Amino acid sequence: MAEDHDRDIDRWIRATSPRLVGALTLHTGDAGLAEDVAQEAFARAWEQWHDVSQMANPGGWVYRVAFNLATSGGRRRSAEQRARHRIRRSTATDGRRGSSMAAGVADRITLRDALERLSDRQRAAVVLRFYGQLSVAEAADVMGCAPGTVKALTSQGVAALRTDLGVTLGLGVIDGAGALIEEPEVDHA
Amino acid sequence: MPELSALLEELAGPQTGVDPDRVRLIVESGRPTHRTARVRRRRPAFVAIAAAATIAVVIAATILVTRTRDSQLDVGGPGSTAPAPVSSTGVPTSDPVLPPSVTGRAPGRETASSAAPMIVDVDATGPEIIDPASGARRPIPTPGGVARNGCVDCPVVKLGAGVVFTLGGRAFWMRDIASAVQDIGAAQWAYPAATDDAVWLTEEPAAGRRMDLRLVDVGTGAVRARTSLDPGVRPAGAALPEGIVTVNSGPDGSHHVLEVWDPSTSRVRWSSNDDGAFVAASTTSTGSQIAWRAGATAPNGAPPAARDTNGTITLSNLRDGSATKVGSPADVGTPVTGGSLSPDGTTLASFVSLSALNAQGQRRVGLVLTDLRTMQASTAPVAELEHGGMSIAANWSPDGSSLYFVGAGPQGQALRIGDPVVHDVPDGFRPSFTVVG
Repeated sequence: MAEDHDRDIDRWIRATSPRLVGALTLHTGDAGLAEDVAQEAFARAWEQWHDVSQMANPGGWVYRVAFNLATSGGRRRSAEQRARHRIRRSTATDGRRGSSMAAGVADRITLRDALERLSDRQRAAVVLRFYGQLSVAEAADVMGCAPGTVKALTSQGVAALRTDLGVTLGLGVIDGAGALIEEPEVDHA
Repeated sequence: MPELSALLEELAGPQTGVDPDRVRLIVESGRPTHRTARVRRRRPAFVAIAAAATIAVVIAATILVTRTRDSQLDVGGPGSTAPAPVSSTGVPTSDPVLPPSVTGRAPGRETASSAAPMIVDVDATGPEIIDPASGARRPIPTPGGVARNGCVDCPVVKLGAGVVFTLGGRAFWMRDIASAVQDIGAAQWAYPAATDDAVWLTEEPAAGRRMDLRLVDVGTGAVRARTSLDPGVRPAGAALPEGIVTVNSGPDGSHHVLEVWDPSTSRVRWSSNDDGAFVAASTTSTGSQIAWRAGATAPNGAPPAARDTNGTITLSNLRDGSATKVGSPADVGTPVTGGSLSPDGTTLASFVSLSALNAQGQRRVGLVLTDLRTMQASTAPVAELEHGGMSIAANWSPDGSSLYFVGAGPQGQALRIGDPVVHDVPDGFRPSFTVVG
């Protein structure tokens, strides 16, 4: 019985955590913080697995906990992040710029910089929708706001990214293997 | 054209995720979890408790004074009428979930003809106004010409006979599909007011700052009143005679408690007291009611005390303080995010994740209509929506005679109450539209 319990959680963590860590990395700009936060969120899920496993969407729950933790921790680190941001902007490495250029974004600033310029809520909406592959309703649940707010924040975020990057962005949602899993909802052409 | 999704994949890089063994070690190491930490906090010496209580009282008094002072509502505006006292309701934990019975057919209701034409905002091809009755449509004209870009899902709020939307940092009002667009002032966001002839306008505040709201007359653009919300508090998208429905995320944004904030007294008139997700609000002869779901987490990250993991919707009545829980029929499926109250507050439309999978083994979404007077539920004949990236949302027509929703396909659909047939709305509708009065 206990083995089944552990096996279920193991499987769930292995399936859910890579994309959650990635989403948190994009949201916080700090891969180490992202992993710490995801680990803590999964630990809480483990402790309450009896309740969490009964939920309609356990994945949504762990995203919510993780993003809440990231938000709380993020405030404490905001000064540090701002300092890092200033340093990065003045000494952006060729490697990172090269990576973005390879993706077709050969412009003034990198995608990382553009993401950091977004408000917390705009960045969360963009990351949850276009990287986390959450539906509008699921993202709204994670962010604790109305679906319409998520759509508006996404729209604002995408518009700001487009301006900063100086390119038109495709808005289909693509999974890790490069397959289109959701048609674009919006047309910025 | 680079795909944003692919760029984010590249930026995030390959992820191995979290090692379950490390998580197990953390749990087994006996680190102070949120639960044990709470228990430990309950054991300080009596003196420490007394000191903490004194500090809390002082802080609470300071906050109350600050909130009252910061509110600058003018007297005389529609939103300034002092509402009747309401009893504060806690989160009901002992109320049984009322199990609606299934009739298998949409409940018939009296329908009235709408005085105002239906106006729909379509996001996919740029902002556009459409009259579903006639199929007439026109792009939204703006001072810069016809807006085809830059406004995707413009926030739209429902008014009695018009539509308010924001575009390019300005708010606009249209009475109907044939009338001119009026610029009513600078705004990033528009939220409904308690009366149809006004709207709350605001800009996104910087992190940790207060959100300033202006109550603007939609006909003239004149500012009737001003108020400001505490840091971390934002409108949820509805207003009642008792006040504005808000989401209080706290100073650190780590939780989402629903509240009704009375701008005339700067007081919270009602609170979910726990993490809550707003569904809908309406005012009827029996008082104002808020439909909401218990959120995924409490402020400390634990499941909320009044947890309804099956997505039960709670209807809290602000007049008598009662709370009614509405579940979905157990044999239908599990409720999911999304729901909508009819304009007269008597019917709740909610979505459920159906128990039965489709032929491809995919999860489907169905629609359940519950008559709140009889608690009779019926499954609407739309139980074939695929659960995917779509936005699960339903919008009532202003007269309550029809329910508009978005399916898995590229077509909006409509259900006339009492009619078992689902109709496609006029050709060209795309997902994610908003129906307004």
